[in-house]
Amino acid sequence: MTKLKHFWFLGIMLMLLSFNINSLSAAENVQDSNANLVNAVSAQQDGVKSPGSDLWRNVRQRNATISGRTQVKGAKSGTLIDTKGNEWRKVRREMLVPYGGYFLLGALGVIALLFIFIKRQRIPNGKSGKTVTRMSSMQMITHWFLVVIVGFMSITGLLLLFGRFVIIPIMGLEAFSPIASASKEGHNLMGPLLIISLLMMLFYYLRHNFPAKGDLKWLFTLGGIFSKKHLEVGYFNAGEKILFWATIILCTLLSISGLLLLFPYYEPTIERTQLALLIHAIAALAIIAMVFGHIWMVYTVEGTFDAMNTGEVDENWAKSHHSRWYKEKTNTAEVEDTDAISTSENDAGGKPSSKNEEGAYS
Amino acid sequence: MSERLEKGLTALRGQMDSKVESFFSSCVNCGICAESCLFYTETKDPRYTPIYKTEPLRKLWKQEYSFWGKFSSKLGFTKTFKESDLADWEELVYDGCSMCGRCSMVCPMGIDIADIIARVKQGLSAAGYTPQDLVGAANRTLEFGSPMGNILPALKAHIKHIEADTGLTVPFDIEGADYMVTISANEVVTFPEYIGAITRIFAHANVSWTISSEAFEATNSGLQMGNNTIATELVGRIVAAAEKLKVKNVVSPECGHAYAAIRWNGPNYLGKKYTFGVVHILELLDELYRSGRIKTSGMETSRMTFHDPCQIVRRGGVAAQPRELLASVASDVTEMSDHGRMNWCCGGGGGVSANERAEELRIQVFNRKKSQLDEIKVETMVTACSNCRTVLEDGLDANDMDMEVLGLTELIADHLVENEALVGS
Amino acid sequence: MIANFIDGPLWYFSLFVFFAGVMLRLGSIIFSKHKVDLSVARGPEAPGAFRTIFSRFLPDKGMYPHIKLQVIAGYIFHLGLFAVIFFAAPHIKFFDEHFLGFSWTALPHWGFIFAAQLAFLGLILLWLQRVINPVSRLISKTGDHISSILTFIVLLTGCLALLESFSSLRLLHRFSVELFLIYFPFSSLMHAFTFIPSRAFTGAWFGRRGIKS
Ligand code: SF4
Ligand code: SF4
Repeated sequence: MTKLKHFWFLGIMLMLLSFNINSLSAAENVQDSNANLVNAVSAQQDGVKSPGSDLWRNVRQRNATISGRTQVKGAKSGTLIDTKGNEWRKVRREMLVPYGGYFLLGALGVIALLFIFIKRQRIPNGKSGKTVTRMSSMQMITHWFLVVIVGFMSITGLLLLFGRFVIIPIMGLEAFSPIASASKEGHNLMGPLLIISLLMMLFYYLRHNFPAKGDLKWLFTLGGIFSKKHLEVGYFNAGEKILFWATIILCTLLSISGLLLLFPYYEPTIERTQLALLIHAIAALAIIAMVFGHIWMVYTVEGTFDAMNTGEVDENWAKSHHSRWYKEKTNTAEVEDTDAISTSENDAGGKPSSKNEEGAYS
Repeated sequence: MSERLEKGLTALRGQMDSKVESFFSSCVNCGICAESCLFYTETKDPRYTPIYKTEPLRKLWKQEYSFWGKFSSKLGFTKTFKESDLADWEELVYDGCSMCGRCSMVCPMGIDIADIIARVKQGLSAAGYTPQDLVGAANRTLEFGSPMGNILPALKAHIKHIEADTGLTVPFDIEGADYMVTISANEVVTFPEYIGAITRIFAHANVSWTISSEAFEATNSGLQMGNNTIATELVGRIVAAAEKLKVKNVVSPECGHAYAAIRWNGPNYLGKKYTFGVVHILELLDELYRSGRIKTSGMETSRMTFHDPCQIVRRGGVAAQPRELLASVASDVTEMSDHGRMNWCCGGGGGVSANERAEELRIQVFNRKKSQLDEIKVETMVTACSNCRTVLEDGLDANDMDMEVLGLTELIADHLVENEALVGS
Repeated sequence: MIANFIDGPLWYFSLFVFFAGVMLRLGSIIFSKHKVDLSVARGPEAPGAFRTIFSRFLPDKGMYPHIKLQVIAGYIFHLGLFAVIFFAAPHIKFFDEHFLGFSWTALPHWGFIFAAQLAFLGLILLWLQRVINPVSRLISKTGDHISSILTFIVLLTGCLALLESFSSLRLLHRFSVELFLIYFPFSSLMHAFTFIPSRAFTGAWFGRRGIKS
């Protein structure tokens, strides 16, 4: 905390020195306030009315943005104090944190209710013991990579957003400041890896996630969870596709806004930085809530987790939840084989002597 | 602890040396070696991962030799080495590894995995966990001189035919000959053409050679089952015969593991350097060809490829010679995708082909060769190992593939320039 | 109290375990039984050994398509880790003050961040592949997972302490490094050193037979 104090003091001093302030009342206060500033700041903590607050009020001049002249070249160097920062602080304190908190707790509550009241859907006819390959190793690795990154970012992000209200009462100020600092460093460091996991996600999953026949029906019946009607579903059902696209969109938003926040100097106005922050926070909360839902869905449909654990799913599971995919899978195996043979025949027939010339007899 | 296990452990302990120490210290369990092993790529069963096959020795090393093992046994945590730690590995090591050594070429830590597997075999065979067929073959060799029983009469009969057909003589037990030729039982029983071929070639090139009637069998069941005592005895017979006949060189047959046994392992088994040289038949042929003593005429025109026998090429270092020889008699040679030192094994090395229990697996892993062959569409496959030849023919049969398998030596013999002066000399 | 312990005795203890352990283990490779090969060599051993030490940095061409992930992630991780260990400004300063007495150019801050990101990326992917690929899942031992996780923690605590303004974070990093150092000689982390004798042995074996390996 002491460090921040120094920065604050230094900043004010520098600004005061480098600005030509038009306002007369402010100029009057400059001289006698300089020396008192240090005392003023430390006194604030003890609840004593700060003698510097008059100065502050004068410099700030209500909400008018004062533009002055300065030798310093920079986007905002003409602005002494931008009150928008304070407004953002208010939005964050009074809207984002409480409502965000309610939202997350609400989501958790809903999931808890679902866990308690919705019965787990068993594999129809039980496990067959025979399995089909559903996920390649790379698909699984991609998924778990995303999990690791999103997990880490969520924890550090939540600590940054809510930590102040949770950690300080429990562990005290002393503990919170290193935690906050560590969270910030960690969040900034790992963030760019989200972009990589996003690209991997697109690369390994995109082709299964285009809308297909039967998706609408699935949506209308909510996956047949209540109707018990048999639905023809391909590789992914509509719910999974929505999850995929929501993940992609939210992660893209998070990445872009995150990058803008990482490099604020490319952001000319504070409004845009604040907008980026707001988007970042909302998208993050949304994705965390979605992950809760995702976990519940996987839990509630028995046998689904196997796809991400071993990559092999039970045949009965595949037949009942992804019947179209199962049919395609069991047929295409043969189709692909014949394809492969015919193409290699063509190759061999097309250029019979090419391999020959490469022989190692030179 | 049973006596059996005790024996196995003693044998395994005897295998520890600086190599094992550094190999096991380095393995990071990355799993890369699995992709190099045909038993894994064709079955996708992770148990066939090469380094997993060394688990008995690795476990013992970990318990008794590694830092951690020593430390924890000081603290009183000893995990006992169970009999099942050996028994469960018998099938993996003997049926599921052809000792091809492909894994040793790819490990990023440079671990010679095939070498460790050979050491594991020592422990398994000492404890008696060896496939019956291999034990039987070894016993027959000890008793009758060959894994297929007493084949000297069969050999003599073939030679009579050859002599009648060609008018040449096959010299037996000649003292002071330049080359003493050894033969593998498989060549006598299945591919007797080989003997005719070398007879013609040597006559053509005017080589002084002989066969010892006491020790012509070159295969070594002791090496295949991982029993150094038997292996030493068998190599010892050849060495004794060579010393008795005072020959300058011993010629190993095409057979891959026989070459490894005589050329590379023999001196170490016996603990002494040889007084004679050992050459592989292809090395000898290549030398004769280069020095102009073998003249060939005519070219095979069918589309051909060469299958590299692992023990001769990758583990034996005879890689350039077969190619040069083949190019001298064949005009249309296409290489398989991974050829030379990275060639895929036929699947029958290391005693797998002698082990009936492993047949199904062997046919399954032949798919590797099949896909290699499918890529290049050849009519004839040439190789230089009678064991590979039998295994390849089996595999081709099982897959209904119509392809001829030839031995390189016979191919050369078929293309010798007719030299009237030599006939009858 | 704890701080003094971590900065003082524990640090020296871990250094001692690390150096003594590595020396002992390398010693046990060098001084245990060497079998002399009596067969007539076809080629010289030393060049083969030398060659293999370097040739195994690159995967075999035919193998590469099957082991892409291990190779790429492996390289990313090891290069990142190397850069982070030896070219981070605080580390150079630390080496300079405590061990070496000289320093070299450090990575700029952004370079450090980038290297750390590479190291994390590679490490996470490698570890996931260890758990997910059926082969490495079967053959991996507890020790391998401990090694991966310890490395991750060391990297992470290091990066969390980047601001260098909290002694608690620095201590956490130091403590995890100490655990890492103590664990090192007991585990397959030793491969950082033993890959050289390993490759050399195999290279010599193949060199003797006249094979490039
Ligand atoms: S490739 Fe080498 S290091 Fe990797 S698991 Fe196999 S033996 Fe171990
Ligand atoms: S020697 Fe060949 S068969 Fe045996 S484990 Fe290695 S690659 Fe597989």
